[in-house]
Amino acid sequence: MPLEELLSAADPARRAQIDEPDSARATALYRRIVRTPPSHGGGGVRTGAPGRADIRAVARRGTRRMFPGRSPLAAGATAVVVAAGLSLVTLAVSSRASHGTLARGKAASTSSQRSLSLRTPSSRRPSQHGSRPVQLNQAGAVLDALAVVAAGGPAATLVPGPGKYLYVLDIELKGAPAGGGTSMPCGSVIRQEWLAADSSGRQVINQPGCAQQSQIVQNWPEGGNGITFDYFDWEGLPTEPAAMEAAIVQRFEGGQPNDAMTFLIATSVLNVAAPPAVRSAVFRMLATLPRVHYLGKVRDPLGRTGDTIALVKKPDDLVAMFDPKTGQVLDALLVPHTFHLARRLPPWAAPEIYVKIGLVGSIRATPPGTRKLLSEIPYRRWVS
Amino acid sequence: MPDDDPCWEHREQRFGALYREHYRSIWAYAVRRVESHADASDVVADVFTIAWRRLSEVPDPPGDLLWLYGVARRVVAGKRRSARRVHDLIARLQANPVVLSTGSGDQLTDRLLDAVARLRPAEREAVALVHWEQLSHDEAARVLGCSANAVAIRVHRARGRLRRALAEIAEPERAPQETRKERASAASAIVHDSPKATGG
Repeated sequence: MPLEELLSAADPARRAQIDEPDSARATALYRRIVRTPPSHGGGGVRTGAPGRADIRAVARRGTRRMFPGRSPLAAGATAVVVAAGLSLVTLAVSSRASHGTLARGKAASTSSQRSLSLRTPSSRRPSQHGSRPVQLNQAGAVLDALAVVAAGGPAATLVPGPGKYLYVLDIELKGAPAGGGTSMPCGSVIRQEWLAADSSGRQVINQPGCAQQSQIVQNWPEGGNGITFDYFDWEGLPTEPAAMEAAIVQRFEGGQPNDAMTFLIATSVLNVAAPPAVRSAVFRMLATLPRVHYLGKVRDPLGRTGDTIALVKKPDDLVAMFDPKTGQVLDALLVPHTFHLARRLPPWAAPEIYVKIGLVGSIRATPPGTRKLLSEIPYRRWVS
Repeated sequence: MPDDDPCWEHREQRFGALYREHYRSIWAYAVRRVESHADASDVVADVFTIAWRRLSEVPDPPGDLLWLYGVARRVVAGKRRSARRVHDLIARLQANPVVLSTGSGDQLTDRLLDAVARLRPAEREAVALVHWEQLSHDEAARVLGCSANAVAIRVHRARGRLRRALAEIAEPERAPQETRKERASAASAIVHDSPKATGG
């Protein structure tokens, strides 16, 4: 048989199933590329969509398991914090606690905190990346860079020592349609949480869009019904990417691999209090996950710009935005698979926005500058 | 807003035509060169994203497909570099394969694909462009950025290597001291090369 015929017969494309250009997958890709507006239109978020609900349920289940004794509200709220983890920000003060003193109830980290500078509306500048279309598949290089940044961070973690609390301030947007009003009651939620290594804690939720009961306060007793704060569940994780992924699957996913859960855990929970080596390894592990794409520089509702990656899957992509200077996650959200995040995270996409995290000396204290940050949050523009 | 811009509409029409016309060709190009379905999907996405971004540089047909092949070639090369850097990705692909390019079930075909994979990169790409993408030497030269003569030489050398590889299947028990010339001669019994047209 002529070699030409043999080669033709061996053509791998002959055995591959190749979509037609009008197939669903091809059409979805086309829409992503040309930035077709989201299919649901109107700017609202399909908060009830099965896929989105499923993913949220996965996150909540996983994190609730970490806090088995809490009330549903507390567990849910904490789950959001944990599931989305830490924040966006710059490391303002480094903790003096060493990696070796992280065991629960052991040593004390001191005044480590991460904070952000909000960009007020008047100080906003046009995005320098405004017209650049999506960049797929550069995630490896970006995550490598973030791994390097994370590895060079302060050696401290944010595991609180005796008498200390981990403070987390985050905002959960509830999906304000572009045309005005709110798609969910009360619009945004501004959440402050104080967590101790012994599982005691306090949470204050402000809902500035609510006409009534605009503040909810929750307290958890010392010991927390045996709860262990799995913010610190990075302990014992291997730092080799494959081994880390396997350990995450075992520890957080009950042994059943779930890329969405892995992405969520890696981009948030393991970012909260882990030391640089672990956070760096997390980025390297993310680079090995299939369907993780780089979406480019994106601006969030607070005006911060970060490197954004996504786990692309239907019906919703999981998106995380990172501060390129610190490797801290700034925002976490789900967006419809067909929507293209080219320039900014729109408020209607309901991102979890991480504003500040740090160690404080009491269950009511806040890191320096928090009050000013809270006053600068433009929540009214997000709910009206 | 792009939706209101007539230039945008024209741009999207042109891109849409390009996409519909060549989507399958780029997919085929990708599956011939990467190991997993996911990687092939990434290559296609990258190629058309670049085409969208640089639409003004895309030549009119029939040069548009060659331009896309040229982009795809660089995208695949970049993917391979990335895969090497993230060595664990390779392990993952091997452990959880959705492999497109191997496992035909036919020993001769598998051996041929294996031999193609072991060709020098420039020769492998030339063979693939000529035999799988069905390009002429001139067209392949435009994709590769070299002369048609260089393509012809690479293809000629590659065919020789492939014939020798296949000859080893025909008579694997042949003594190791057998000369290359003898093996090539034996291979001719089962493989008759046919020249590829070199017209543009």
